[in-house]
Amino acid sequence: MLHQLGKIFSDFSLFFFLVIIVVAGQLSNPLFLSPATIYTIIRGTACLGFLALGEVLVIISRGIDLSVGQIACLSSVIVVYFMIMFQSPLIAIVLTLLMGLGFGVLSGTLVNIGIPPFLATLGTMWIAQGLAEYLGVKPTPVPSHFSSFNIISFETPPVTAIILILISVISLEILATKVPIGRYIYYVGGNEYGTYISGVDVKLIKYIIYSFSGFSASIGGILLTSWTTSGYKWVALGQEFTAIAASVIGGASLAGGEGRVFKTIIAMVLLITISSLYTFLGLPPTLFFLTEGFLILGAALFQIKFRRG
Amino acid sequence: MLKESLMDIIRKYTMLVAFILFLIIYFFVSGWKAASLTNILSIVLRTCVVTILGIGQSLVIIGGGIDLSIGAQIDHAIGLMTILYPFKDLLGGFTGIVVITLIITTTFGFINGLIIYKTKLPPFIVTFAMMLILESLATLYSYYGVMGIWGFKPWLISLFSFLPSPTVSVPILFTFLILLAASIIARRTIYGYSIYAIGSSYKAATASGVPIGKVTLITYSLSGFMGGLAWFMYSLQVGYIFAYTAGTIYLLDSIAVPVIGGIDIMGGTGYVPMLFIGALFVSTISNFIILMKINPLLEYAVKGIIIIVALIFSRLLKK
Repeated sequence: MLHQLGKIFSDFSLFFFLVIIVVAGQLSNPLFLSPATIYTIIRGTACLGFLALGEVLVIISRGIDLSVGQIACLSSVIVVYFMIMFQSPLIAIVLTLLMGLGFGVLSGTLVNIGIPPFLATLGTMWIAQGLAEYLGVKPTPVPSHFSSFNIISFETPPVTAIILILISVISLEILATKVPIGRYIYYVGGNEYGTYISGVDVKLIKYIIYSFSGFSASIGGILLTSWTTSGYKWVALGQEFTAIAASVIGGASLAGGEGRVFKTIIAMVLLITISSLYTFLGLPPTLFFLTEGFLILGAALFQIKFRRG
Repeated sequence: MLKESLMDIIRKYTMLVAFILFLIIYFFVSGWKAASLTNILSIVLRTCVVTILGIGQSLVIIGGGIDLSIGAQIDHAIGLMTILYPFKDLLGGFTGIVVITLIITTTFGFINGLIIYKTKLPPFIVTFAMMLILESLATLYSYYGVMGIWGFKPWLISLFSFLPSPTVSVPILFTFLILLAASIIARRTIYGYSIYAIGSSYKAATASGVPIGKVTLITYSLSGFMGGLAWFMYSLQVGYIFAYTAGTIYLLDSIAVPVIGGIDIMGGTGYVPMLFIGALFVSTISNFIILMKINPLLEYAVKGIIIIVALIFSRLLKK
């Protein structure tokens, strides 16, 4: 009975955390739960969530993707670059997504020929970083006649952001838990050789995961551009670590085979809520990393305790 | 017979072959300008910090773990220095500050080891949390600490005055001494055998009575100590103390360097001195970018492409 209760609690522990944080914020400052704060949290989740979505799938398959942050930075630079070049936001977005996909395919190819994921994605990360720094020397604003591109920023209830993130999370969650190809991701992470022996095309699965990770990172980069209204090479600097943190707090294990998509997103909401609470309380932002560190340790300890029962 | 054993060596040290090929191409393309003694010395000098970090990191990696906090140790030590500096005379000058900093970095490494051993949490998570905590503390210190401490470098050089030619070779000699010591420890002591045993099979090591707790604590403490020493070398190169975040850059390098050198990231195998080849490789690429007058903004892109090509090449060689 107690064990079952613990299990339920551990499944919903992130919700409890979130509620505690929100209540604490509300008590410390009644203005905390204003629409403006909530919209900011939603926008942040929509932008950084896409980085975490790719990352969690890679982590489930027992890999790691260091390139998501820099792919998002490069996407931000390049989408504005293409927008000015082709005078069309649509072409720019399509080309940028293709670019992200290309980086993902490159990572997937390298992993499939036997290079450790850490090194393979470090290589793609460096290439993306170098290109971003080369192409985006200065932050470039989105041209004013394409201001409809900044939809994440100007829409006051951020409907587009909500729709995008909800559709992605729900479809990915169904894909990962119900559809065979999604289940294979867990199998690859749990026992790669066993999966290979039982006739699953492991290489194809890895191609799909890494390509998706690059693709979704570039979506994140485009959304960040739409939010900040400019292409900036450091817009997602170091955010690969936030994505990894969200995956781990959401229950993914770096030993592979574990993790849930929707929990990762809730962990992302949690992280962004804490960071906006700190901004609200006027605490130095550096304290946020301190909390994040303890939160990761706590979440991991918590899961271990209840998994052992 | 001779040909076969040569092929064996090439297969074993594929990255070394890739590096030598790159070096020959580089020397040739630069018209042997890159082969001058000053240039080679400057390449080696740039490897010092990363090599020392890589030593701590490779001991951890061989033992089947990973230490993500090792780069943040540098930042934390820098922050600590800015706090401790006003009490310089009280603590016994720079010597006292350095000793205290080394003790504190070692302590944080020890805490890593303690948590990992006691809770059996994955090292990635524990050290990741420690990285965030250390980075946060470092920034917090620099709110209150003094910015920019001069006079540190002459003191450091005078500390090394027993070594010949104190201007250029001090860090290199120091690094080589530590690399030598680490290589001997890894291959010739019981502690060294124990890390290889734990890295290749945790269960087998437990069953055969390897003192896992002790070895884990020593490994992570050493890693923290190496983080402190790397701060020391970093200060020696930069010349003054300034609150600046170098940690995340050095973190990725500190992992990449041993892995490029052929130490398996999954643990259990690898030869510690080979990490120096990895460090040389990365440093040579940076040197290549400067000497060939490639736009410095493209540094990372060139680095990434060359490393990827070398990795593919070494994969093909292995087959």
